[in-house]
Amino acid sequence: MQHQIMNFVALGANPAADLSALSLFMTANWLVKAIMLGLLAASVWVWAIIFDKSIKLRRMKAAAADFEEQFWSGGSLDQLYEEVGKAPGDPLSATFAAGMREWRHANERGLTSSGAMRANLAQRIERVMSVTVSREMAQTERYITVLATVGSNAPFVGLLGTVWGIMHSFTSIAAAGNTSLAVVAPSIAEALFATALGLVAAIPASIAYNKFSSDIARFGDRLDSFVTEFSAILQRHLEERG
Amino acid sequence: MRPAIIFSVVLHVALLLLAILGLPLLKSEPLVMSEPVAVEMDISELTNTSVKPPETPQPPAPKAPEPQPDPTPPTPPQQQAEAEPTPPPPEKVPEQPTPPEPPKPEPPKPAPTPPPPPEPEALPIKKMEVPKVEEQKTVELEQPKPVPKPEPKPEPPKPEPKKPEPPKKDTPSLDSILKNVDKLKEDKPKDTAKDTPAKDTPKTQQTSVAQPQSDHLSASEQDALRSQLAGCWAVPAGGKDVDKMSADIRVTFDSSMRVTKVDYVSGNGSLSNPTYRSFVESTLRALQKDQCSTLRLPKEKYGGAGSIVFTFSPKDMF
Repeated sequence: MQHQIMNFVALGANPAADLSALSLFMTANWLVKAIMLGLLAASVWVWAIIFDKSIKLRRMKAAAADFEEQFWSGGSLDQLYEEVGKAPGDPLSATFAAGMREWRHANERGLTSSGAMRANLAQRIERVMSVTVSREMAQTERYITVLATVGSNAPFVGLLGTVWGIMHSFTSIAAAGNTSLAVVAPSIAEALFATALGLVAAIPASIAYNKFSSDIARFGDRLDSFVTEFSAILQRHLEERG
Repeated sequence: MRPAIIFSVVLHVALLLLAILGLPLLKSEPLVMSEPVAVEMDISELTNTSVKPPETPQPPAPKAPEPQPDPTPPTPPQQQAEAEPTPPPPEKVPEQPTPPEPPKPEPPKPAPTPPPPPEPEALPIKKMEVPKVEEQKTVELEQPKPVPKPEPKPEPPKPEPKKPEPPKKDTPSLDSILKNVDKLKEDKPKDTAKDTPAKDTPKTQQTSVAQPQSDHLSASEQDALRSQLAGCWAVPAGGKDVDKMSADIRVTFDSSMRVTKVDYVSGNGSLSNPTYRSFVESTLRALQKDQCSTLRLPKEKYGGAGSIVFTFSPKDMF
């Protein structure tokens, strides 16, 4: 009996396993390792998108504010088009340039003579501008779906790693023939590490997705209202002429 | 997009490095627990059971013989056990002739003798058996433990059979008795050395692996050790009758007081009882913990490796 007890104590007296992040990863099962690497890559990609989008959105907003200030300052629209038209840097000026280009094109070829032609021109300009808006918005929304996907799926992927790791830790119980917590604790810790990584990747992704999608939607509204205003201005111009 | 990716990779690498290497700022200092310090107070005469108790019984011993002529034979053993210088031997000599009837002296004797040993042991909880041959110091280090008490009482009778015998031989003549008494005195140390360990070990049911070169532990030292072990010991709460359980654990340590081996010696339960078994395992585990891997014992008293038998019992330790 004493021997049994001593054996038990010898098992329990194992030096505490190293539970640092690196050793947790190195001792993990291959599938768990793959999942951890995948989640790490997802986290890197998510943060890259977050940085990229937050910088671009801020620039877009600043540029749009500048452009609107110029647009409503009362200066000549032709002059503004000369400044901006050739290489529009932001969606708003690109939309303006597309509309202006169409307008100029029609004027150069004398397409504003009859009333029917004027109505067609107004319609065409509006269509050209909305095409530009949707193209610009698609560019802006690029990669945002990655955030949504990672945000909703990374926890499940991490959970898969955890379940897999815990399955293996139970086989190690069977192998050791010992139910001591010390036998399973390290592998359970490394399995849970996969869930932790999944959450680490998912939480910023999901927060960023919510923020960016609402920001981009607001910017899209701003573009749409600009299209409406600009086409209204052009139409008034046409009717004054006619 | 590329600068953002580079930035993100750098961020993750930095975070990983931080997690792997650790940041000095994030490392929390280990919690400093105030440890009880063994303060050496000069009460060792009061708390050390081995030296004083034997001396105090001496005065009563001579008295006892006077009222009761018969018990006198037992007195010599007592004196033997206690001290050589005592004058009583001459007194006994005259009386010893009477002892020829050995049966009578024996029964009374157990009554007087047992009380002295139990009294010292009443305090003790833990016992360290360290027979010291000089001066008959039976090096018992005992802490108040109720459990051992009952056991000591039955045992004292054992010494009796031996002791009565020498007196019988002495009976022939006074001279020879005196000589024998002298002899006895000379022999006493040996006898007592043999007797006392015999007495002590059975009392606590401890096996007799004794620690030869130790001295007594003072009460404060015992308290320090006890509180150290109590701090490491997580009593399995909720087990049936855990509060009544106790287990004697032999702790073997090396010269730097580091625990090298832990054995279960005995206890008041059976290991087939799962509750008691987990109780015993909890005590063994207590000694595997870091805070208890080095025993708080005075090094001077245990020069080299040694062992103590420590009784774990929730009743006495908490």
